[in-house]
Amino acid sequence: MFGQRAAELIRELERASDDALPPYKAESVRGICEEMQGIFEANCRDRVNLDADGIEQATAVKIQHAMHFRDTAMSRNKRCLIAYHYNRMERLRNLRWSLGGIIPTAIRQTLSEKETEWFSNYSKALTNYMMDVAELPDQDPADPQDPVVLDLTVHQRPPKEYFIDVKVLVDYGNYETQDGETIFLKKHMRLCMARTECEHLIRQGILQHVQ
Amino acid sequence: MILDNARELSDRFYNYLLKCRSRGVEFNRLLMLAASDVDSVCAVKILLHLFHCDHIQYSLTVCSRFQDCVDAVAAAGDSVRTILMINCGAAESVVERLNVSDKVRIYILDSRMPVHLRNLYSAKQVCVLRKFSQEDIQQIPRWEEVFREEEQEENENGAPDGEGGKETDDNDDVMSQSSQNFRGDAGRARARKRREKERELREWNSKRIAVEEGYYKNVYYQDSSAVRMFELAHLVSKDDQELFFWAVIGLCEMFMQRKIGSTEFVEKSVALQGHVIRLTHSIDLENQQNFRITYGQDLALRFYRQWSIFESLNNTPYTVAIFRAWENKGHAKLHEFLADMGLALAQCKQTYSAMDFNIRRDMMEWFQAQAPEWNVPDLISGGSFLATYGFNQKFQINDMALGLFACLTVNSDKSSEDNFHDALDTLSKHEFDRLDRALQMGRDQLVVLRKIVQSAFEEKLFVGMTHYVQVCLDNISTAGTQFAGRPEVLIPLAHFLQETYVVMSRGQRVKKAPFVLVAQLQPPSTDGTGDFLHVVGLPGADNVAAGMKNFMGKAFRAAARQAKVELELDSFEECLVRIGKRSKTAFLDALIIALSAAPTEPQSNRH
Repeated sequence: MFGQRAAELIRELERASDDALPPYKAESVRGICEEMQGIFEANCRDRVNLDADGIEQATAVKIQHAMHFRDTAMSRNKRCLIAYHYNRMERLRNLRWSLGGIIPTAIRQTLSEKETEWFSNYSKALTNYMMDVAELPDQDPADPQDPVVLDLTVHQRPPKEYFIDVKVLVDYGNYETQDGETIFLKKHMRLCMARTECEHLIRQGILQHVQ
Repeated sequence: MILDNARELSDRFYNYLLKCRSRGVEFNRLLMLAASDVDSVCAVKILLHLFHCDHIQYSLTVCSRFQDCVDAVAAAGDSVRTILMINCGAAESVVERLNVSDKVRIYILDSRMPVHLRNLYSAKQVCVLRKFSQEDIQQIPRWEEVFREEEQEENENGAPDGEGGKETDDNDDVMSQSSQNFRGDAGRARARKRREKERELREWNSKRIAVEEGYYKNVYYQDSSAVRMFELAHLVSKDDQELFFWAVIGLCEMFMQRKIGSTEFVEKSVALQGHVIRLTHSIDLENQQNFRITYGQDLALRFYRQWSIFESLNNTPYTVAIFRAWENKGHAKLHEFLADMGLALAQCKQTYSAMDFNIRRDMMEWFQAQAPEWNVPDLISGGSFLATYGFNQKFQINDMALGLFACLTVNSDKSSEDNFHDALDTLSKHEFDRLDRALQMGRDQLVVLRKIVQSAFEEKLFVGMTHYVQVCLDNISTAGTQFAGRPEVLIPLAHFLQETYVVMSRGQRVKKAPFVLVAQLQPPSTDGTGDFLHVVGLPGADNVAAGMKNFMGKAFRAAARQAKVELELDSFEECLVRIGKRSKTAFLDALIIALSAAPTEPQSNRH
């Protein structure tokens, strides 16, 4: 029956969890393409038959209906194929934003050749864009020193609060923040600091987040 | 500079902080130094809420004595441009003591009076955030009484220099005799003038000392810092029930710790009444889960809503004193009182929440009817704040204040800073369990204090001197290590002891006599070299009741000077000092002399 494999393809992608990439079904895709090819050829043949002289009115109507049916099946197959590839591409793009430019080998094996190519192109484009954004207007473009990249992939969600309350757990001494402020950290102090500043201090166990 | 009314507070203080945010890196952090008392915890809590709303960055350091403030400021170094001191610092000349540059601005929020004159008369650098009543303003010496004009001082300094300059002049230039003669005359005139000036200065100086002595003599409290901060929050439209709750705790603590008198407390509560109505009004009445505060008449028994009526009567200082509850006779009297009222013993010994609903409803009236007969008018408070969380049991905010005090002074392996942070967390939103625990701790502390008082009476530790009453407690370290192990607890303990003693002895003279408590907190060491005693001084009981004006700090200092004993302030309270155990006798002897020199002082302090 027409369209069965295409529906199966879509169903399979749907069954996988939202951001997982199931292996690329090259076999099915090829099968569907062959099916479409067959349909197309059958339609061409019928077209020739339709143009033949002396064809009965009833037969002509029958042939027309058959052609219409095949055509619908073909466009349905086409839609399924596009949806399949488009959805895989979306998932692949999310991978780029969440995992970065290098795909883990486990995922790499599930990709088709074209997809790998697309991924590397997309990755390149994104990197270029990030460099463009970060470029300062007065920077000399001829000077290729350590290119500044504004990493857009980090902090994609706005923080709930920019400043958080922290308690100091150990005597630390002076700590210099990124904007040049010196903060003296002593045990039992309570401070309000920018979240970005104290994230790693919290991880080191110097600060504790107070709710 | 004084920032007196609430509008100035928001304009000059809060707006300055807001402006600092955008003025650059070195300005944007506020250093907060907070004393570890309940009022300060509440004020800090309110401020943190405001700072959180407006993204004002701060560093908060908890200080137990002034040296901690000095250390904190020194450690912060040049990175700090704004300092806010909460319930500390008013009594010191902060610019000098903290040794800060003139770029630093210091705000002082302190409930303690008197404020150091240098802080008051600072042009811009030091701001005192508090209300001054007309009476207070009159008590402040005028500027010219305590400070000399700049140019006059310059003249004083300039005179020796001028002389020095003239001498060198003389050596160098011997050409003109006549000019030297002229100079000699001028010199004599100048010398006469200088002598006159010196005499003037001496007179002024002695007058200044007298004026300052009069000004600094009494330490007293006014105006809770937490309430002050609540007013600020109200003005910047960021107040809510929760903030109001904290402010009321601050106020109640001042009353419960006898920092302000009952009339003053009632006045201030009435002033807060408007807020109660305004804030409760906005609450959705459908949603009973909300936090509510009400104000009204209630029994002045401590913790009775979490306890049983009997236990509460048995432990509240007021009733303990009246009934002498620790004696068998007193116990019987207490039973009689309850029987007169018609309260069944089974009911009174029951947890309050489990008592009959009808009894709970009518109990207030019964107490009111019995109070005049038994001469216990203060058993019903004119007004107290009640708080309730959803369907939980109501509690008095007075009790909450005591509970928080117990949290702050609990003597475990935690430091006082940890206690402070715990207390801050206790006040967090929707933490009914923690509030409950705090109430429990307050109750436990009260029981411990009562036991100490009982043993003091049983062992007859009260010594009536000619000019004051003295109690020496040596065994306090064993009586209640957890709840009576920190020096701050000695102040409520001293109040408890004094109140009970005054009611017991019934004399007019006892009422006026100052009260001294000497206590040893740590167990005695083997060699006795490192042993310390804590001494608490309270003025006469009538003075305490009217809003304490405590002159004992000054008396202690005079005695220490006399006896050449080293005196250590262990907190911001002047009336609580620490001395070496070995110098106890010398110190107490000197104290007798110091207090007998001014026997009428307690009376003269009253208005």
